[in-house]
Amino acid sequence: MDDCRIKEIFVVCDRSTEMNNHMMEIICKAKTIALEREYLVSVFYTGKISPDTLKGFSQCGVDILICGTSSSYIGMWQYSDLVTRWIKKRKPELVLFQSSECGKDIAAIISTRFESGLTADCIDISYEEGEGFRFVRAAICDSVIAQIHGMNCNMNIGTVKEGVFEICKVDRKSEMQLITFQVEEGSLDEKEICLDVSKVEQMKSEININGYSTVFCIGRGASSLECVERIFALARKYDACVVGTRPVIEEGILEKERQVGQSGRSIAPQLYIGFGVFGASQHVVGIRNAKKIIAINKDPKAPIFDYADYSMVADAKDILDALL
Amino acid sequence: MENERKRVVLCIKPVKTEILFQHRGEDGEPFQMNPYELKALENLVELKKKEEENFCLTCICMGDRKAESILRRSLAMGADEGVLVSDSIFAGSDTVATTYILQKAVEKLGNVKMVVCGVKTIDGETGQVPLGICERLRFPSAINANEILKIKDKSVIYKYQDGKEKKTMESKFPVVVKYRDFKMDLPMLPLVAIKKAKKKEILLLDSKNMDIDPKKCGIKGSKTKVTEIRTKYKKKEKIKIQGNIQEMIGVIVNQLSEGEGKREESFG
Repeated sequence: MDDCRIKEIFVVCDRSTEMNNHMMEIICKAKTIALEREYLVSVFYTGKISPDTLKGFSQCGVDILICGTSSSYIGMWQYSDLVTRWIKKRKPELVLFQSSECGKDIAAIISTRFESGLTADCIDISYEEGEGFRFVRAAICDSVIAQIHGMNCNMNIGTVKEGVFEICKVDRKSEMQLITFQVEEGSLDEKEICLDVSKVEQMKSEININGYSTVFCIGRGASSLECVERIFALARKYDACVVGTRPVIEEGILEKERQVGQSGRSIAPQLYIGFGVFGASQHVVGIRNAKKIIAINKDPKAPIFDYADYSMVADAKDILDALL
Repeated sequence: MENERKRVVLCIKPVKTEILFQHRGEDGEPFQMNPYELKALENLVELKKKEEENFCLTCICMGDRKAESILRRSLAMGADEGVLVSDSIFAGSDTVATTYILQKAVEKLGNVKMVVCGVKTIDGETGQVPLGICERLRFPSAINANEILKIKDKSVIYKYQDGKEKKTMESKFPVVVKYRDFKMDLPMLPLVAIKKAKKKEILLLDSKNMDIDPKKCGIKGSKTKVTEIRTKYKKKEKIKIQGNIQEMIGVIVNQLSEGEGKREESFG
């Protein structure tokens, strides 16, 4: 072990992916920690290289840029072997991956291979003197915040959530070092073959449901055409966003992007009004961070009433008729 | 124990009941199946009925002995074997230690061609275990599946939807499956099935009967620890608005107007 070696934070970009904001966010966060601790930031990149790419990485303060060039898309196992090789060479204190599907898979393989702690979807990372690296992440469908410390290992790993950290330029004291290498041609042994492909109806542009302070939710008890029309009219009047529970989405009443719950989105509006929402657990986990919840359901036993600030046992249709 | 047919192992994560069903205690069971594995189990049991029993469906659950009820339920639903992986030294395992223990359990069972895990758990949601197990077992591939369509002699056919495309894929064994669909409602089980399941033996795998290094299990074998958990949501005021529609409307309009143009709500 070389004690005089400067410690390093190693940022691994998604394989065969061109430089994007997510990568820059992670690099900037790494740089913030590195400047405090006098570490180096090295980046492992296998996307397209251009003068703009080099400039972009340099502006974020990357000390060492390791570029793998490949004529074809790199497969997961080949990529994990490459990352393994470079981790063994660089011996970083901290390895950060993107929290994409690809990044999380590689991170899980590396964590297992090196038997190093891995924290998923980090929303904050810091180093505490005497305690080591501290990671923060959300869990249970975003309803809790957990703090995690690495232990029993020399290297910590995290996958970093997108859109959390800021991209900022750094004054450079020295030039970025560039290391390039050629990625060997991967083996063509196909273990998975595609038998059939069909296109899924393209989703319309993202509705920013998290940008609204008031949200109306359509549940089964308000899924009739008249109720839906009234809810949309009410939403226009009060500048609210309309979302729905899984059964309502599955019936085709609302688009998939409006689904709130375990398999949809989590929301945290100032005000949530559930019209005919039953309150099944898989929906409730997505609305627990709402500041105020009003629940309207004609079933007095509906579980949503356990989570509501204001409970109203009534037919949503009657409420909507009176409101408009 | 099963020796002839190939094994399909489903790793079921026990989840605390109160996370899933806060408003009711499902027959007082402290743990439930992770919803992703529940759906996978249903899928695999359906296949067993169609495929004329060409595989042995083994459910593994790593956890407290109280999680045994999950295995009884899986047997009642149609699994062939229920295996509880439980030992006091396994307690406190993070994903690094968990994948090690599950690897040892799978190796002990033998003849395993496919390991199925939910893509993530409804509590931790890290999604790290499937690839970790794949790496530990040195299986050549890990696949994403929304539905398993057919288990053949040396391969599996499955559906995968990634938002843009729906694909039907085939993958050779051995393979780890990340199962992406889930089911929250517990299916009603016929009494006959429950009775039959009660009589079946649940195999217990622990540190004594598995070839396992205790230093790699539990807290000793873990590389991360959770040092704090904070709930994000506020406690609810739970005010019942009794009375007529007009009174309810009054409250709703009041709240809606409060919301207009306000950043911080200052109620109560």
